[in-house]
Amino acid sequence: MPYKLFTPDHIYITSDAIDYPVTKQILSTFHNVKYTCVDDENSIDRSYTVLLLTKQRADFYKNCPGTKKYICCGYQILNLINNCEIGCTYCILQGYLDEPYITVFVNIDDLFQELSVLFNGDKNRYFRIGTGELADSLSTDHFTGYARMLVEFFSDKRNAMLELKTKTTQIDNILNIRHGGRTVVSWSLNTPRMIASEESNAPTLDERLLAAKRCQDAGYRIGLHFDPMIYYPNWEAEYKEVIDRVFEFLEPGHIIWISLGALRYPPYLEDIIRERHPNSKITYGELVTGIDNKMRYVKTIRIEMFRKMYQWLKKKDPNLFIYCCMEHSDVWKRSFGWTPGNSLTLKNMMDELIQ
Amino acid sequence: MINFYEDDIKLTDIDLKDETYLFSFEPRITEIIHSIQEIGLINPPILVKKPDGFNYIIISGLKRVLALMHLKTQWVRARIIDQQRFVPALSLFRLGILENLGTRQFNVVEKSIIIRKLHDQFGLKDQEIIEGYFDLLNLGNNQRVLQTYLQINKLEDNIKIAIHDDLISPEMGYHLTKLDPDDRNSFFQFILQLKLGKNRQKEFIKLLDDISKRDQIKMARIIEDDSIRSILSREDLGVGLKLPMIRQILRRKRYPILTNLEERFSTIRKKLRLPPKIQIRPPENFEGDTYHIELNFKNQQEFAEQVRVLNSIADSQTLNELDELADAL
Repeated sequence: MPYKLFTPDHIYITSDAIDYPVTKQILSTFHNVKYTCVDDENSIDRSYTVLLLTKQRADFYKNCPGTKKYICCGYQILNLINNCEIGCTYCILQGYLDEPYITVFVNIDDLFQELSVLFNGDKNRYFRIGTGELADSLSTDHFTGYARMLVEFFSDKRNAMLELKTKTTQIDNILNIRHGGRTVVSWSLNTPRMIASEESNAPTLDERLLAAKRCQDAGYRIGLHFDPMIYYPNWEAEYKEVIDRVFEFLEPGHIIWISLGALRYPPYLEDIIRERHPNSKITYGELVTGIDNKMRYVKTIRIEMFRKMYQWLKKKDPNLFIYCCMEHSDVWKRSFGWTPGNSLTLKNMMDELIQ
Repeated sequence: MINFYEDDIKLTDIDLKDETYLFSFEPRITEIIHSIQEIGLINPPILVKKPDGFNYIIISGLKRVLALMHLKTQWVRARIIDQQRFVPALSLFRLGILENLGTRQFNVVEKSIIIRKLHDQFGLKDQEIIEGYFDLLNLGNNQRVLQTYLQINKLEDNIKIAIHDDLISPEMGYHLTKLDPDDRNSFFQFILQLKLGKNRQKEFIKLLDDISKRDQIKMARIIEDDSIRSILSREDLGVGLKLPMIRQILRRKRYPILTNLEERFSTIRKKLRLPPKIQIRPPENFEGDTYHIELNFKNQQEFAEQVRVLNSIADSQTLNELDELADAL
């Protein structure tokens, strides 16, 4: 199925969000779409494809909820948008967010103010921040235009960088703007077979790589995330082909980091995946309860996958920086032959890459 | 308010085939026969006249009517619904429920028949059933419970009896409704043959379901595979021995890599020849990197002896094999 840009059937606006310029701009973009003002989110008719415009009443900025039991890269996240329309079978948001609609927080000026205070308040600290935790960073950019605002905001920051993580091709808003090298644009990659079965509403591998190449040509550094890797018959040949394909589009020198992560999810998500995606077989893999209580492939499987990916990638360019997302030090050591040992070391290593 | 009058009704005028208001499952009438023989019928059944004006339908009291028939009685004193004022069918059904509740609890299958009738026959919406009847049936207020009970009524009678007899849970009954009849019957027989308790039923259905969906083969085919049949048919083995053997076969199919790790670990443990008072345990699911040793001793001498044994294996190549476990698929 070709990738289709998100268009709502109905827009809801909470009363405190009506007067914001972003609200007006979105209503103008979707001038044919009905909208309703509501006092709170309980009045939303969930039978529509809904877009909710509201005000972020909590902090925009948060630490990535990585568990202390595994090595975490020390990422920080901005909650500008909640939820994603792409609907990947394995998506954690299916269980994490109650609402079945996309929420855009329209008080973006508050976000910039919050970040300015944060960055100026601790100039010795380095902030590596992403918007791709509770949403795809770019899938709603055709009507929010947030990516451009963020990239320009970060372009002159000396102690912060932005990572936009996406599966989409919506890069036009950020191609010809001043980014100052402070933004990394990243793509989540998988094999064509897994994209077709588990990410069927997302752009194809080649479409993603072509978009990445265009960003590379615009001077951006590129991040790649092989996450979640799925273990299935013929995974080896197919993931290796993906790696070959990556380097037909991208220059290794422009790739700032590559992460590897295997399928994992909280146990309650299993029933949700099976019910919503009956054709998906991912939950029938050899997943066991990990030390963070999430379901993960048996460790030997993960080590095998990461070890091979690491070797294939390093063969392309030994200087590539490859890291594991949320893994045990033992898995790093056995897969890569080295380990950062703890989260702080990994964070420092990644911060240095961008500075 | 529903009005009644009492009348003597000929038992042959009661239409037992009309089950509009009935929900009894497996009516057992021995006790009520004894009761009527000893003290007569205390509580008259409740009937309503059929539209034909001649026959009657039972609202409540099926067992009493059946007992009287068994005793070759010809007439019964009954309470008849006065239909001078129209009484909706749903009110009559609710009356039957309330009248029964005064004297007994409903079993799971009866609850499922009631819910199914409310849904299909009387056209009530899910929320109306939950709000209007779940308290009466002692079922909480959960939508999932509603679905469970709606489905149980579709099961074959032998499975309903097993639910009624508490051999399988309503939740398992619900799970069984999702299987095709072959798989359902096969798993039901499997439960009976291995005398699986409720927790084991859950474990086995998950293993079988996962293998079946992953490999796209019918559950019945997995159960009827030679490897399992040959164990089930062995007369020299009791259920207590058959069960772990079959469980391991299914786990090997579902988790080939994990069970291989477990079996390799078991081999290493045997090679270490540790005495029973020293236990070695792998990390749970082989996920972490730390093995645990447990010593059990009564005094210093036993402690020293166990330390000596541990020292003796400290340099052994076998211990090193533990480290290699995680490395190879």
